[in-house]
Amino acid sequence: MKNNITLILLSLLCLVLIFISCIVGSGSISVVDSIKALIYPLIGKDTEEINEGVKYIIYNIRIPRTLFAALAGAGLSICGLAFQSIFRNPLSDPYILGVSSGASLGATLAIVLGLENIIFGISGMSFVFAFLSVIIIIKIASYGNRIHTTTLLLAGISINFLASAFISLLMIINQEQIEKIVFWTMGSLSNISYHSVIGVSIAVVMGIICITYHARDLNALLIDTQTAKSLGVNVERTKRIILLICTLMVALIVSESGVIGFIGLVVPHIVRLIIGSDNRRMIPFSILGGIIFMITSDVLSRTIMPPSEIPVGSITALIGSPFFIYLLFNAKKRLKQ
Amino acid sequence: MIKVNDLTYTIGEKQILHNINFQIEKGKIYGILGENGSGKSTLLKTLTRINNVKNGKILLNDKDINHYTSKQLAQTIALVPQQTNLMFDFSALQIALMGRIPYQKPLYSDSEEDLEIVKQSMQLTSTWHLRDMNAQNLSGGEFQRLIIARALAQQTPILMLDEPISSLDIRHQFEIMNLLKQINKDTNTTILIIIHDLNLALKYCDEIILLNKGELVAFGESKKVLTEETISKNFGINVEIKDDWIKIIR
Repeated sequence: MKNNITLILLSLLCLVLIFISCIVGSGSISVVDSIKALIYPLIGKDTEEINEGVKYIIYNIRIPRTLFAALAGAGLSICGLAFQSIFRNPLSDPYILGVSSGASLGATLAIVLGLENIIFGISGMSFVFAFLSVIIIIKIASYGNRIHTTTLLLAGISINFLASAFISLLMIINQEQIEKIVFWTMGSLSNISYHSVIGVSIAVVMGIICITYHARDLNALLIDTQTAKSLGVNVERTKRIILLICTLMVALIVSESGVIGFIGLVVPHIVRLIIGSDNRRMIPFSILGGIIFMITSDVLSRTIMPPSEIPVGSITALIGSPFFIYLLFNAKKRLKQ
Repeated sequence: MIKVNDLTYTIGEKQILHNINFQIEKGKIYGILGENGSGKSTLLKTLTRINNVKNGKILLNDKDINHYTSKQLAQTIALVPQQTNLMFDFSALQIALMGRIPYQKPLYSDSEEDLEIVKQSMQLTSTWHLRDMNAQNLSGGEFQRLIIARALAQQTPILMLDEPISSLDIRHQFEIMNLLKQINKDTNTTILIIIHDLNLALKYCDEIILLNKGELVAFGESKKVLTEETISKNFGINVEIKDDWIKIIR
């Protein structure tokens, strides 16, 4: 009961943030005009008195951008949750494990190779490279059936380094595309169209359904593989399905917005601290938490230094990396005990 | 109930189990004995299909174990693993409820029936009063009983335990063994247990499966298997057996 009330309150907070995100920005539109443009059609009032430019910005830039931020927040957060369960490691997250960097290398290559205008050119390449990163990480970190925590993190860091090195190289070779490429390494929501929102929303909704469907199995995996097997969980199949759907989500998000880090780490972790590790309860909270975290970061990225915009990836990293360091210290304390 | 035919298990070049044959009957308690590295855990993992059977055959109720679905198997055999290293916060009740996973449909919440069965198995193992505690904060004995409660919630005809008492003090060892005996009596559950204490094995187990270097060296009634001769041969210690009590002599 208490949980349900919290969920309702958090959902309301999401709506408020979505509203705020649509009315503020680095552009020179006044808040009042934005509110008018947003509210008038809803209450059936004539929108003719509103400037066309304002309408365009609200409807074709801010709304898709806000929707995308919500989807990306929810998607990345729930991917973190799922990764933590299948790797049985609270520090797993698509960014730290190098999946996001892999995807961004794929996107960069797609641009350099001129695949931009082919359908699924960028997102397809992102997926292939994100998937390759996952496979490499698992190969490096697994000993028989077990996945070693430290090696997993180190493997992720190596993939991150490797991908960034290749991206820098590609930038130097292709000076004329440098601006486009930089975008993928920093994470930004400035190029979002309805087109991208639709693609990503399909993947994220599929992902959420799939992870919710396997929530109990993921709980058993949090105990350990042997226990999960003895409880009738088809461990290998579950891991494969979850990895595939998460990689797809991350790749699609990254191919539209670049690398946005740490959401999958920070949000599930805070949720777990508050309500415990039962995935069935964590899923709705992580989705809402991800939306809140992402939209807040995006609003900050647009309003801290007007008129210029800070890449949203830097904001999430500014919040996320100290948090990650704090978690590492905690892990160390646990080891000492 | 379980028939093991020519079971061989290798990891890489190393042969862990060699040509094992035996047959488990319903309603008895079987003790699996042997030195460290004799293949006890591997045998149990193979019987629960955590290790895949490649060479040899295991028949469970006259059906090849490989033909069971994961859920069917989990409804037939429950396992208490050797060690559970809990890294995440779960309440004791949440852990015990996981025993119902083999029966639950995805997306449905826990039914009244599930809760009732879990309540009974937690009461039986005296863990019901701990239900709201974080399982990470339980003592060794409490946690072991909780894992047994989870296995009982699976409501299986067969229960397998990998060294459930090895890390417990003597009083808790007896407590767990008495509990298993009671479960065996009340529900006619077949129990396979890996155990190191020869006297407890003699006292509680009906039959002994004795392994040495991956081979089945003796199988049968406890008193007939645990003799001074087999013990000295397979454990490398000299003992004297008097009134069903095994005493080590220097």
